[in-house]
Amino acid sequence: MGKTRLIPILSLGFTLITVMFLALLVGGSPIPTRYVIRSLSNPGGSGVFHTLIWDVRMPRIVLGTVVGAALAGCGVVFQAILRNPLAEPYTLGVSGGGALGASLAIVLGIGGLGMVGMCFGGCLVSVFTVYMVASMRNFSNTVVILAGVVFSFLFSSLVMLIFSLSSTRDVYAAVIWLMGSLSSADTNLVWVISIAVTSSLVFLLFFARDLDLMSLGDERATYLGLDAKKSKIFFFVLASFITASCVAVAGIISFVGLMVPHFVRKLVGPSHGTMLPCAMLAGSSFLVICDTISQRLLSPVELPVGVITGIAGGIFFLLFLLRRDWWGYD
Amino acid sequence: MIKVPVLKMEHVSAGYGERIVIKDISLELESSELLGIVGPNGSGKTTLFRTVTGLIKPRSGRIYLKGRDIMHVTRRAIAMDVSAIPQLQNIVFPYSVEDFIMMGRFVQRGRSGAQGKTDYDLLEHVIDLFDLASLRYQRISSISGGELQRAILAQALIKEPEMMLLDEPTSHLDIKHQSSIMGIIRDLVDKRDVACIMILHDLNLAGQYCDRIALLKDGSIFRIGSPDEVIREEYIRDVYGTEVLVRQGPFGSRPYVFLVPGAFRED
Repeated sequence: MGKTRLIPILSLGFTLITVMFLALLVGGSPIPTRYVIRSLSNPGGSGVFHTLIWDVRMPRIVLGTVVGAALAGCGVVFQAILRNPLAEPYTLGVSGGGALGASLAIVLGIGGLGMVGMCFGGCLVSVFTVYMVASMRNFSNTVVILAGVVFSFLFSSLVMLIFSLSSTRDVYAAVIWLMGSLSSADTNLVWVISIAVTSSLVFLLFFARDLDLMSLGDERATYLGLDAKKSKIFFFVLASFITASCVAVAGIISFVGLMVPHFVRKLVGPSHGTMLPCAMLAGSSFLVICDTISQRLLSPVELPVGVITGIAGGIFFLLFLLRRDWWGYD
Repeated sequence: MIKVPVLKMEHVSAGYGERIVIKDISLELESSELLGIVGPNGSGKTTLFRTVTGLIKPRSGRIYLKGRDIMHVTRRAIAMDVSAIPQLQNIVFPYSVEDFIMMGRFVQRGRSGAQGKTDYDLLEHVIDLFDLASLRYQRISSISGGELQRAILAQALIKEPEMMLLDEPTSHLDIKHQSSIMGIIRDLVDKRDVACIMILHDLNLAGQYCDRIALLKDGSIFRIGSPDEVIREEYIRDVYGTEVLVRQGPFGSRPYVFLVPGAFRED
């Protein structure tokens, strides 16, 4: 078991490093390889390419890596604790709350860090409300999922209400934001969020066996020695915070958290000790690739990365519906 | 030395929310004893199961596990000694049989403990015991109901419990697998001194394999004792509300229940 685990993890890690390097080369417009290598080996250098690499592409790729890993990782967590292969990081309404916070900020003319803050606040409000409703019904999976769905609808209706009362320009800005983007304006924010999210994800990796047990259902997990209710709350809160941080900096990037776990589960099996780190690495690669495509596809026009992941996700979803047996579920 | 019973329940009542389902249950269970729980649908069998395993807290009364009050014992400590197998429900994710069985060692291995020699030896042992060698790398979603039930038993046994609880381990199984599962459980009880409580729907299985039987009615123990003390026509009639014939089976003095066609009684 020990050694066979390492092979997929190392290969996906190597893939990610390759993808990151290629993204650095390609980006919005290609930079010759020798400039990239020179710039990377000399972080204190200067010049147009140097600035482009260190101040524009690097933060963006790092953010893509972190957000991709986080969305895929949280998708794995929600699928396991809710025992539902169709759960994803936004199932519990985090995105709805985030969208409400961000739309409010745009309409009120609050930009930059203030908007990030309001978006994060919106996420937390929705997590808290779903949590309160779920706690009243003893965190049964059905109630958690239904509460998430209900609050998603409620918050998106409020977003629509705000849109209907705002100017076209504001609505346009908000819609673009809702589609997700990794071109965050604030480099410092990118670093702060990256460090916070990455450490949370590493922390999460220590609980892979708990996820194995939780995925068998609360009753079975309890009999195998886990306090299922406490565990569910722990994963719920941790994964929601991670998702909220991602939504705050990158908007709503759909489908990464849903389809990456499925592909990885198919590749390496569902055991979380292997599958969770693999999903994170694959999520990173996937999002960085999608982001590069979004910059190159209609260059110089940049597409929202959420559109690319959404199209890929939609096609995947169809495959999932049509070939369910292939995925290993009944 | 005074022998402490593995399980002792004193006047236990429990239920969900406002609803009390089991009332004033007292019983004791020794090691190497197989106790069958029988009773009509809704008589509290599964609630009793969940109370003994500590999943739901008793409303009143006390439960002692090896002399310790389970209200003061951690979830981990209970799981160290007790393996519980709830009714078969589908396993959503397609784990390999081997990974699935190994999850049973969670209490001993903890969160990050590597797979030690003991774990590995025990894995080989239970795989052997339940004849799962050819299935160990198969997905749990692709094996049959009987094979799944054996994998679940292997998962429960790999932590070497002192007490096992099983909620209808033979439902959905054909007679060959029923006989095999019951035989394995009987062996565990006889050869390894495991104490076992088993909920059964089938009175005849209970009669053939159990040392003692508790017959539940409306959440209370109606009768408890050896099979021939409990499986009697008048008790079955009282509890289930249907007419049966009880005859001595072909194996020793164990009772055998026959349904009487057309004898359903409307109360």
